[in-house]
Amino acid sequence: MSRGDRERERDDRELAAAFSALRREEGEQCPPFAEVVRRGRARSRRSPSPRRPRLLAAAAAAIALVVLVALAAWLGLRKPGPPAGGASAEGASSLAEWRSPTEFLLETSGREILADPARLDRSLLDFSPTPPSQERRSPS
Amino acid sequence: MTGEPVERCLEELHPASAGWALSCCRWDRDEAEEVLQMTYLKILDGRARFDERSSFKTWLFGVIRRTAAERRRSRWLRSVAGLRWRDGRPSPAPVPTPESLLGAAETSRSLRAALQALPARQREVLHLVFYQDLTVEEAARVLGISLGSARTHYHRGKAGLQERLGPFAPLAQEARP
Repeated sequence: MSRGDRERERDDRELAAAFSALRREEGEQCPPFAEVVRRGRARSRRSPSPRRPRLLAAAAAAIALVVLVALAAWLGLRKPGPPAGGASAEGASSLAEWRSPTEFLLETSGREILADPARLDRSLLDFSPTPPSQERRSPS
Repeated sequence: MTGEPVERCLEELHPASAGWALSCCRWDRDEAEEVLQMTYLKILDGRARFDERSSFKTWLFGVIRRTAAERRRSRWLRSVAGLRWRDGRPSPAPVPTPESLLGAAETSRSLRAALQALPARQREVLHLVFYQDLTVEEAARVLGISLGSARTHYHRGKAGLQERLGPFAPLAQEARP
């Protein structure tokens, strides 16, 4: 056995002796088993139901959840809508009345022909062409 | 195992259980007694059952340790929720009793102080091995950790104690009857 091993063994013995003194001392102050059980029974009769803290915790969690949902809903409502694309939101009373500022680009010559489906008893020549002055309108 | 045999086993192990409860509660006597009461009632009322997968002592010490942890958690929750004041009974502060102050030998006091300064796991392993005479393997089972981890805590704990107490010889001389 090396010197280190002997020292370790001695330390262990001494530590065990110190713990044994502690055990003796604590054993002397230890209340009897029956007394501990009796006090425990008396305390459990006095103290409130163990379910109470659990119920309180559940209620607190439910309240926190409701608050979170309400906060999320409020933040969602406060989010700004998509940009109006130049038209003022107050000016347009409804979406049906809204006109695109580039709508004039759709006004091409001969669009009347495309607006209606072709009919057998009607000629292209029956359409009255739009005067050139009205065909191209400036956006202003 | 139920009924009278359990009660007999509990009674036999009572001094050892009390020592372990004290260690789990950092030598707060009131708290340790409450933990012991709760543990005994749990077992006697059948809320904790011995499954015979380990020795009764190992299992009992595991229950005491878990009960102490549960109690610490519930105390913390109560203090957070402010229920302690609403209930009208403040939690008992660790007040040393006169007999404990007078009767505590210098050896035990310095050992207790050194143990209290150690991390919980190291303190628990050392207590189980030196105070309760369990093997490191049994201590690992009580604490629910691996054997390797328990060995590490054991060696580190011993080194920590040696650092705090100095050489163990004077302690042992005082400790010898």
